[in-house]
Amino acid sequence: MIYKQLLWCWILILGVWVGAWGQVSVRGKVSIRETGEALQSVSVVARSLVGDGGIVGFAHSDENGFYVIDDLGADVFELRFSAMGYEVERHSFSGLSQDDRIIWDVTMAVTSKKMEAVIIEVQKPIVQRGDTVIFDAAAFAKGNERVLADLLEHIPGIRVDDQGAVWVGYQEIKKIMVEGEDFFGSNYQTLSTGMPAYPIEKVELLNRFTEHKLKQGLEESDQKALNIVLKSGYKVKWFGNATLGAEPVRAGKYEIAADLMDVEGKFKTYLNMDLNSLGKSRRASMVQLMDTESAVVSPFSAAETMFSADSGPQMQRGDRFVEGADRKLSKSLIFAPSAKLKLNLMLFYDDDRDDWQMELHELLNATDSVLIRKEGYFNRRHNRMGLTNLNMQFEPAEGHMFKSKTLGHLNSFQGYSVITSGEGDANWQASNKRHGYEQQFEYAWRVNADQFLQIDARIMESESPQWLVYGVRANSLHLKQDSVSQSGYYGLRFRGWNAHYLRNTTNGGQLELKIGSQRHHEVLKVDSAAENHQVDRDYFEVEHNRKWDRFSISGRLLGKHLYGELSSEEKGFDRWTLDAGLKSSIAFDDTHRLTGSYTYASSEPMLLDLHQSMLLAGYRSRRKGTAHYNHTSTSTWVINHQAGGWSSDFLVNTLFLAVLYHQQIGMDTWIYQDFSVSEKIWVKGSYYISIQSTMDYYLKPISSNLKLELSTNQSRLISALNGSDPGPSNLTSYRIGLDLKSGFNGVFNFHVGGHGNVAIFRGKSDTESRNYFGLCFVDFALNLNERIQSGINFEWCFSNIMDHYTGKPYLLDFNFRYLVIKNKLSFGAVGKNLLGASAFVESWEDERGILTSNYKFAGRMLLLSMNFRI
Amino acid sequence: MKKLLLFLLSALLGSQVLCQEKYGHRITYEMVLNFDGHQVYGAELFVGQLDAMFLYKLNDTGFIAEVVQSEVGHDGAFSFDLVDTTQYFIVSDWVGKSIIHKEQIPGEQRFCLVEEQMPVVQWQMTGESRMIQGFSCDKATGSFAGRHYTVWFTDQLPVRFGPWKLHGLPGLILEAYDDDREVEFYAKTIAPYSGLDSKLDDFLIRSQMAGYSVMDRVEYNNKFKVYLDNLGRRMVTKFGRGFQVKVSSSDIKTIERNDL
Repeated sequence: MIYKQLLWCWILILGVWVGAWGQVSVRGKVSIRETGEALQSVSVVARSLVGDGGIVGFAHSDENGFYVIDDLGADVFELRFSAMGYEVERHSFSGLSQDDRIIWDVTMAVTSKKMEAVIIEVQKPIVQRGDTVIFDAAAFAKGNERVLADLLEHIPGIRVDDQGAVWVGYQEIKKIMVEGEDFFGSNYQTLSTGMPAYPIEKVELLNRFTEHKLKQGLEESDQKALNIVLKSGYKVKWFGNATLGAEPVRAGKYEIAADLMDVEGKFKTYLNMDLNSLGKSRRASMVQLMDTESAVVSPFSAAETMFSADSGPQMQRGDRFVEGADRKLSKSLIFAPSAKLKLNLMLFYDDDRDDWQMELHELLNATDSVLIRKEGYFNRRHNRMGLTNLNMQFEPAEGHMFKSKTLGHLNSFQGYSVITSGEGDANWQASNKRHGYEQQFEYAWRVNADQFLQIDARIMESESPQWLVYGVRANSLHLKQDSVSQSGYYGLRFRGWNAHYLRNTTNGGQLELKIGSQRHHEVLKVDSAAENHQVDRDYFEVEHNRKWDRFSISGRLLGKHLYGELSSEEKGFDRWTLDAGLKSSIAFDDTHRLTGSYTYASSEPMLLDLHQSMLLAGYRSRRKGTAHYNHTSTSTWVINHQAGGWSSDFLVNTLFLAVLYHQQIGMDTWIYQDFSVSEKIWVKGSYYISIQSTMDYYLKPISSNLKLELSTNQSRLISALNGSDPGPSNLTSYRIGLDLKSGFNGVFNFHVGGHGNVAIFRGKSDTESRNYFGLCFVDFALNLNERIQSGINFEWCFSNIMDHYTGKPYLLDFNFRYLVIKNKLSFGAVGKNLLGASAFVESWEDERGILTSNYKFAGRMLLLSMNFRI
Repeated sequence: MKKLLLFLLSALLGSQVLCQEKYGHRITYEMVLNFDGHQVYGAELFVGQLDAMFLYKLNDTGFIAEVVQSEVGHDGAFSFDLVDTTQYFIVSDWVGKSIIHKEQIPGEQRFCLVEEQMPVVQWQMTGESRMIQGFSCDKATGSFAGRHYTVWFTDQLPVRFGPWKLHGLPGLILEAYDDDREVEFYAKTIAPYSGLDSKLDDFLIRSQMAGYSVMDRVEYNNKFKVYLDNLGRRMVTKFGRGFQVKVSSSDIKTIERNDL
């Protein structure tokens, strides 16, 4: 009975619903006006006359000229009758009721008008032209992009990391240009993290990018770069954006950022300002402009190690642990008075201070005892850096180019560390200054289509006075007067030249020759002890490769001649080394490739004591205790297989790497006042083997990508403590990662996954330890509409040693943005560490003992910000 | 029998064309297949009031479908991709509600004509509009052969035929792409053309003279499935003992995702 009642109710409801949705319908006949014959295949389109004017119904006339359009979704509309060879007929209807059925016959007149030919230029979202892939920014923009990095994240195959570095697949790009202009060189992160996204029309991915214009089409390059093409309106005026942010509860938390640029005319300018107290440091990208040869060497190894340590564990984002402030100003000015001459002046200033805390807990197996150390660290690093770089490029004639680079830099560093232990507090304070310059000249000649010649010369000088102060039981940030202090000095003078010849050979191969000579003079002082040494290096390099349709092979030979003298030794040194390598690759098709290589490398087999804390290892001096292994000779095998492409559903990449260290010199890290480890170890026969595989599979039914990562590493390590005999120990690790990332078009997207690592250590005495670490994460993005966008990041960490600590393993961040005026004004909020996690614990067990690091998270934070565009 | 039907159809088409086709257009398209890479085809659509012919050709060599990618997975599964590059023309007849599609016979170097019903795409108007090269275009979406397409068409050119088999709209399609952006059509030129009748006759008669066999879509798909099964068997027999091979045809990428 009850079912019957329900059935009747349902029929009644359905009837009411259907009745309420009754629609207008139109029908009629179309005929030729001149003859009265029925006209078939006429397009009849009903278009609304209110709202967006969209099509609300359409039909085609049949062989009798009849047409029917039912269920018209509007009561005010226009009917448009059109057919090839006939005049268009229109009629408007209004004031109709819901159930009206209109009969409307039409006659159409033959027209003599004939259509002209039309060329259509449609903008496609992805276009490939040669080696360049062009992405239409509008097709990939979702409306929530603030800076260039946000837009790049939405382009398939491109990824941007926390520091603004841009990756295409597994390869980092070389640079970002704007309208073909290279504003910041390798410091392109200034652009990716600062340049506003809204003026961008296209992103061009330059595959096979060649740094040198004259090498184009000749060099076999696998480097990539981006060129940003602006919308036409922004090529003729200044534009930019700005952000203001403040934390309402915790005083002193702020963010002020602005980027302004102008690419019009002969003068092109980019200005960047980034002031924040959020632990966001932008200095690293500036340092890349400086040559690695000019890096400062410090005799104060222990303090340097302490200050250069990571602020947080590698598994985590660094800014979660740092309380700090960064003030950065950048300017790039490009002046091109003619097509042949171009000058680029870059100016940078950065003042970067960060504080971070951690606890270290160690159980160390010394020779005949166990050392227990528990220390708390409060570290402060303060870097200030000014840098100016002037590049000049002059092309006097086609195929000829002169280049020069003039770089000056001024840098100061202050590091402060308070170490709290059971034996009392200790303060370390280290500081150094550094100033120098570099001058480079280059001449390049594209001899013909198949030959290229380049000659360059470089001089570089830098000085770095340094100080180290060590005090016990100090208070606050001030040292006691009985502190012990040391002073040091490092000076570098470099002179060098290189010649480079490149030629396409007639058999489809390529020959590359390089020769060069370098003079490297260093001065080292610690207190009154001084040491001078000079190392000269001459080298030659020959590389030849051949390429067939899908197969290539290349060989390389590098010879180095090192000679020089030390002030502390009467005899000089004179040595030759030879490196060789062989590489081959086969491409089965565009997306399926196998590459293999073997390399034998012999580093300069030289290890000379300079003084207490310095070694001359190879070409230049190094600190002792840098955890750096200087391998005198190695054999390396690499096999890489890739199937699928980034645009395909399936992609798998597998890498096999094996390194055999024929001989190596170990310089151990851990140097303390109450014990020490061996500073030099000569060993033979250690190795490293790694297999890594990543698989991506796009699940179309759920529009999501499933990623599986598998890897295993095995290495034979060498360690020694307090002068004990070095011996082999083995480390085997496994890693598995799985994640699923959605790519929905709608308001909601997610990324969920996790990874786990297991490390098994077997020591000299057959002791075995196992550590595991895992991390799971869930990210949600909720973009309700163009105005409101938000995201939540949740992480959960687990490990076999975390239970010993009180730190919560849960992390929660969120971001929210509300667009008030499109392309003008928006408000945002960023929350970090909202669950109040206090510490992140990492532990390591090996031959030395158990080392546990307890990193302090930066405090809970909520930043409110306002962004406006100029 | 089917050859006879084809001949009759050809004759019928010709007679209708002569009656109706005073006006027509030739539209060139760029047809892009982003299956595994970026392949660009040159395509032409000849349209009249009641008939259309779509021609397309890879702007590169490689007209023969071939195994272009194969791999052995961890579980012993063997998969491969085929590139669908063999079709030459698609003739659409509105009156007869039929389509004749020139295809390559799976696994053979010969071609065939596949007869099928003209698909009825249920187009949904989205209400969005934009200008393309001076033409006011409306946006519509619809599903055909396993893909969901977005098209921009203009009713300023009252053509009921579109590229491939995307028919039924009240205007010419200037841009079409599926949700995965694997299949894209972009109009390049539009010009008046009145030679469709002779072009249709020419293609169909030449096809008949070439002795192309005729089959319907179901028969063709079955042939394709048999071809894949045979291919798998040939592979299986070439591997040694203890190596189990599963052949999967699910990864084959074609414009039409017909169930195989």
